[in-house]
Order: sequence, then structure tokens, then C-alpha cells
Amino acid sequence: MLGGIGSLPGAMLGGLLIGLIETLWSAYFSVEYKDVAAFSILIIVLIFLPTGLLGRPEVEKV
Amino acid sequence: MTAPAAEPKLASRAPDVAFIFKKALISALVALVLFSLMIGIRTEAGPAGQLIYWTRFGDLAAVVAAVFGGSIVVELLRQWWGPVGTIRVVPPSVQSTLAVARRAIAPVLLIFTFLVPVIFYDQRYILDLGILVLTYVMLGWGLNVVVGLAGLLDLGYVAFYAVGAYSYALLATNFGLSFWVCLPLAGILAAFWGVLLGFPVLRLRGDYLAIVTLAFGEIIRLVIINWQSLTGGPNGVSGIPRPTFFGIPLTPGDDGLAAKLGIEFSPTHRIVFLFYLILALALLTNWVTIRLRRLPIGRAWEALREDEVACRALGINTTTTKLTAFATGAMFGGFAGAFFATRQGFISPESFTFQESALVLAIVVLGGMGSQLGVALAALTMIGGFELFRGLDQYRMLVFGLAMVLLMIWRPRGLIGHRAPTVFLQHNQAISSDLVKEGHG
Repeated sequence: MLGGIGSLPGAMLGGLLIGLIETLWSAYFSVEYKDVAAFSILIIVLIFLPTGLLGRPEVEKV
Repeated sequence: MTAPAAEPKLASRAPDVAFIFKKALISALVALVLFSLMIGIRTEAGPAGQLIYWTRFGDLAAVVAAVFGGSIVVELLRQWWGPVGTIRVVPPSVQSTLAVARRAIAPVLLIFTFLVPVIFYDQRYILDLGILVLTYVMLGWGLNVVVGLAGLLDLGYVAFYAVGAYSYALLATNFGLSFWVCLPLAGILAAFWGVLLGFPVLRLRGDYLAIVTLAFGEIIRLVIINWQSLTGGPNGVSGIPRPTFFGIPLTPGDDGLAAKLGIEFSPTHRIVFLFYLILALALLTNWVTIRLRRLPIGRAWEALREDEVACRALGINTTTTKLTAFATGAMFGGFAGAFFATRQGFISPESFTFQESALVLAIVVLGGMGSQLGVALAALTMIGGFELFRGLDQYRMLVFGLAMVLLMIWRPRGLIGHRAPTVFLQHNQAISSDLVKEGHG
């Protein structure tokens, strides 16, 4: 989801990012909120990039 | 069965025995492969930490035989029922009685619900079950605004439920405000969080929307668990005051309601009061939703559900429409949460997991998205069915899952799948579900 649905390198990148962020967060900040941090990063990325990091923008036929 | 389906049935029954047998054999083989490890071998951690296992080949054989037999039965039924699309003529007398029955379901159900505490006055189990069913009905109607009317797939609805419950609990225990003052406050706070959820998801469609709402629900739950100084964390909040009858407490003392009315006090009074309270809240949700559907905002929601791009092309402000959908749905969730807190007297983060959200969503989808009566019936079926199967212990979830699968096969669009248009010109026409395309997001 973070990397964009339908994009394999996106999934890899997303997985890597989430893992890194969770561990780094729990190292420097409080460990209880690491899930919150992961979800918040997801939400923030999706606000600015609605189709994920490497996702293909959806073409909607009207 | 009528004439058009009779001929092909007789002609094609005999040669298909081989086909049925082959199909059943393949199903049994798949079942064997799947279940050989799950049922065939049972493992446990021994006293010294080693792995001990024993085999259950008898059970495995029984399951495979059941799959084989069931496969044959299903195929035979399918052949007897005829191919998809055969036209069955229903006799007009049956048709008219069905039409009358269909119109009468809602009022009859409503009257029955009003009379439940009267009929089952001494069976506390039924009253508690009734309160639970009504709570889920209200949650279903609240989620129906977001998912059914506006078409925004919301997987984190339990977050608003939690916000409502915790806001009432904390306000009541810290400031001593009564239930009736806290109820609108809980609704307002939940609506505020609904708008807060709405902002990030404005540009998202389909799956992304679902996951972000799911993430939101989980964030709320994690914050509640971890913010111990405010919410007490996993210990929850206890000692939440019970509701009062507009200020008159329902206690055995002299200032209680029983003394004021001059009747004998009994603990059932509080249960009955809670029942009527949640009934009133649920009916309020229903009434507000029905009225909102006829207002421009409701019609904007339904337009948003059908086609968002067309909606924007017509000049409807999709931002405010989505935000109001989330806010309204969240408000009803907040009311339900406040009621939940006061009913239980104790809340903890464990009641607000994703499973609850999934259950409410399942109720809305099962009932047919956008249909009020369908959601109510689905809540009754699911929660009632869950309790009904309690006597079966281990097999309860299995039977329940089976019932759900059967229901979805029989009615793929939900119990009340067709959507009668909210606004119509002259004739009362119901649009069948396969003519209506659902938009995403």
C-alpha cells in the first residue's frame, strides 16, 4: 500500500521503509507508539501521493 | 418447478453422473491436501519444550468423506435447480402476498421491538441480547451513512465508537457530568474525529481509502492503550456512572425512580430503561438518516457513491460532501459509544479492535448497502445467530461462517439488495441492483 498497489518495486520499497521507520522510531522515541508511527507515515505519504510511492495513477473512465 | 426447466433437467441428468463424480473426487483431493496437515496432525509443546504430535487420521478421513458427499449433494442440487437464468413464474397470488409481507416487515419488526421488554420481562438474557443487537443495529445504521450512502469504504469505524465511549467515561468520571449532558458532547467529539479522518482521505480511492481508515482506527486504539495518564491504558476506565432517567437515578433508595413512581424496585428496571434508551437512539439515527437522504446533502452522498467524477462535474463540492458523511457517521458512532460505556460501567481498549469494525462492516454489507431495513435485519441475524449457536461450543464459528457463506451465495447483494431511489417522479420504481454501478471511494 505504501509503495503503491500493483507495483512490485513499490512493495519492496514500502516494506523496507516501514521496517526502517518502525525500528528507528522505537530506538529513539517511545517504543509503544511505533505502530502509530508506521501508520502515520502511511497516512502522510498517502495524503501527498494518493497512489503510493511508486504506484501508477489510476485512470478512471467516466 | 415449471415447464421450461423440466425438459433439460430430465434429459441431462443421466450422463452427468460421471461429471459429478469427477468433480466430487477433485474436491475431496483438494480437501485431503489442505486438511492433511491441519487436521491430520496435531502438535503441542511438551513439558520440556519439545514438539509432541499425534495423528488424527480418523478425523481427516471423516472430513474428506464429508467434502466428497457434500460436493455430490451440491452438484445434484445445482442440476435440479436448473441453469442460471431460467425463468420461474411465480403464481400471482403468491406474488401479491409476498408484496404485502415485504411492506409489512418494517412496522411489524418495530412493534415487536417495542414490546420485547414487555414480553420477556423476566428473561434478562433476552433483554441483554436485545440491547446488544440494538447497539449493533445503531452502529450499522451509522456506518451505513458512510459506506452505504456515500460509498466511502470505512474500515476504522470502531475508532469513533471508542472516542464516544472514552469521552463519556472520562467526562463522567473526572467532571461528574451526567449522561444526558455528555451524550451530545460525545457525539460532537466523535464527529470532530470523523472530520479529522476525512481530511487525509479526500483524494484517495478504493483500497487506499480502506487501508487509511483501518490505519486510523488502529491509531486511535493504540493511542488509547498507551496514553496511560489520560485513559488508564489497558486497565480501562471503571466506575462509569449509570444513566439516570433525566436526572432521577434508578436506585433502590428514596430518591430513586421506583420510589417516585410508587412501584417496587427491581434491577430489571435499569435493563429495561437501557433497552428503551438504545432503541430511542437507534430510531433517532434511522430517522435522521432518512430525512438527510431527502435533503440535498443526502442526494449529494448518493451521487458521490455512484460516480465521483460526475459529481464534481455537476458542481457538487466533493470535499464538504465527504467530510459531512464522515462527520455524521462518526457522530452516530459516538452516541453508540457513549451508550456502550454507560451500559457496561467499564471500558477498556480491548473492546475496540479491528474485529469490531469488521463485524459492523459485515453487517452493513450483508444487509445491503444503503438499505435501512436490510442493515437492521442483518444485525439481528448476525448477532442473534452468534448467540443462537452458542450451544455448539467449538463448532460455533464454523457453523456461523457456513451460514454467512450460504447467505452470500443466496443473496450476493445483501439481504435487501435493490435500492429504491430516494427521489422519484411519479411511479414508485425500484431499480434492480445490476443496473446500478457502484463508484469507488
